[in-house]
Amino acid sequence: MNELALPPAVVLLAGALILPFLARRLRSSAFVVFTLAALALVILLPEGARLSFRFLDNDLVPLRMDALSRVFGLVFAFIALAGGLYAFHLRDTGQQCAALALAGGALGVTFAGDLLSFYVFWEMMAASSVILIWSSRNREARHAGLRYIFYHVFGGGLLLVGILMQAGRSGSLAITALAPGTSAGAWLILLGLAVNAAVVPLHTWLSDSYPKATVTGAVFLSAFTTKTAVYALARMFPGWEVLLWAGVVMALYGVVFAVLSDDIRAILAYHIISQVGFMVAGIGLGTEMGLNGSTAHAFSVILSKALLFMAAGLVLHTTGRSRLSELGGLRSRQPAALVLYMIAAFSISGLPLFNGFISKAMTISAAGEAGQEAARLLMILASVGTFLSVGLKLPYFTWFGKDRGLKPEKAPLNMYLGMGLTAAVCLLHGLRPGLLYRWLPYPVSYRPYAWPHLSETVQLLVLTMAAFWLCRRLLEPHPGLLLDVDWFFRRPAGFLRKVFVQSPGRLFDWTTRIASVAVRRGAEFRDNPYRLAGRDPGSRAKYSQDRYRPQTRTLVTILLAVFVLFVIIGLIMSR
Amino acid sequence: MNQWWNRLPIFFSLFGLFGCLLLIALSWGLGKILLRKNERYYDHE
Repeated sequence: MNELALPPAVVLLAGALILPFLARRLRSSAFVVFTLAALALVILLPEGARLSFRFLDNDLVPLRMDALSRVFGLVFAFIALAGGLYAFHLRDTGQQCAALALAGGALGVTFAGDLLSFYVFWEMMAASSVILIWSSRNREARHAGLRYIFYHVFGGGLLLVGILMQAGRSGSLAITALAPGTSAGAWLILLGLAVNAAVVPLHTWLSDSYPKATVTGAVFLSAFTTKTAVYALARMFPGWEVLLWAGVVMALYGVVFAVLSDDIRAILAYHIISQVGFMVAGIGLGTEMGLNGSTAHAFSVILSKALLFMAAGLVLHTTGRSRLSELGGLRSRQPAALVLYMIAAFSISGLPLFNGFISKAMTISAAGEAGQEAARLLMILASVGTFLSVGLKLPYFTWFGKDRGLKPEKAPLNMYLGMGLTAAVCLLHGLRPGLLYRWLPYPVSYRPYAWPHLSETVQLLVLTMAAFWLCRRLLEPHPGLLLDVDWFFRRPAGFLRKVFVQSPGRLFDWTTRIASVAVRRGAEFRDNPYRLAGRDPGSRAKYSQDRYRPQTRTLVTILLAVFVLFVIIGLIMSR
Repeated sequence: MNQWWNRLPIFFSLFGLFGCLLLIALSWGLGKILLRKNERYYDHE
């Protein structure tokens, strides 16, 4: 036990609570200070640092520092800082608090040593993510946010049930690697994590909501949600072969949809699925090199993907447009944004000298070394698609292509500052791979700049570019929306609403109406039972004695008749 | 790593070219016949 054992998540979550009480102009600075403090804490905490206490007869461990949690914690804290700089101009407390809470949740998940704290931080992330989507304050964002909640409540539920089953089985809440295919509890946890990792076909919350989130929101969402799931998978499910193939499917599925999309942030969102696919596949391999590759790639992609979303957000912020079919010819008006975007695009496409080159290749080579040649070739195909969609198509139709005469506003300087900081790290790791490799959980012997790999990559990318140039007419952007597997619940939504909501509603209406008519009629008869005998048709009068009092002559007649009857009976009897 | 394609020096040039053409054709075709819809497709929601 070390004297310095404060979970970094606490700093950011405290920040999210304190922020609304500060003066408005101080909030952005405070945001940066909190993230800086969290980053410093992650760096200062020694390996093996641990904080635990007893709670309801269980050991809770909100802080457990080891090699794997450190590397994820580092990049999460760093990107929160860069995002804070990028959003420095923002005057929206809700978004700022939600962003801090999201980053805090991610750090909490990363350093959690028991499943209960893990789950609590996990749900905290889902809640704060939705705020970042809803902060766009329009109808589409509202609907997408609602669908986001449905998915994550579903995933969180699976996770919780899985955790309870697992804890019941093993008698402990500790987070450990689970042996492949062991128990139903493990499978449920895996499914719960798969929702957050956007494993196809549980992925549509991502491509649906990220393009509709705020400019800042998308940057934060892209960095944390899927990557914490990757971390958790690496922690609990290394070597589950199902993950290898799930990852390969994601890698290819994501790029095909990225090539098809029109909205620049939808392209990037689909492309997250593809990149997370590489990481999931590496975890599925389960070898030291595979896990190292996944971790390194998560580190690289968090940086480059956030930078891509920052650049796309800058375009949206300055032009008000985010569709390729409405953009074009911005290169002379936004050269700095173009350069920063291209650094991120080259990084994520794995060009030599950029950080994707040193991380993605490691995962792909790990597949080769594990004898999974088919998976290796399919992943190489997916990386061709990455360069095609994010490295060529998106920048070509945004900054080059047809000039639509757009006059973008001037972007705030702090946006460029946040982007520059992130870009610098992307380049630094590309040039000095050792700086990243030394953080990885296992020793690294891989040499990315060895000759055959360098030659392969250059051949691959140059010829991809040639193919793009040949077929660029086929890639012209089209407005419209893309169907995805959410079609299965969105398209029948109207019909299902009719069957399950409107029809029961109508039935209920009818029943009420019939019942009330019956009651009214019953009440009329109760008010005046004479009506049952058909008296006073059409009259609504209530029964009253006076109204139906018999006339005196009737009474006298009856009385006389009875008297006569008695007399006769008396006479007969007296005989 | 000893399969024939890993020994062919220009394999990855061909892979890049034809892989990229395949992806373009695949996504173009899917968009054309199946996936790309009008903006108001889900508007009954």
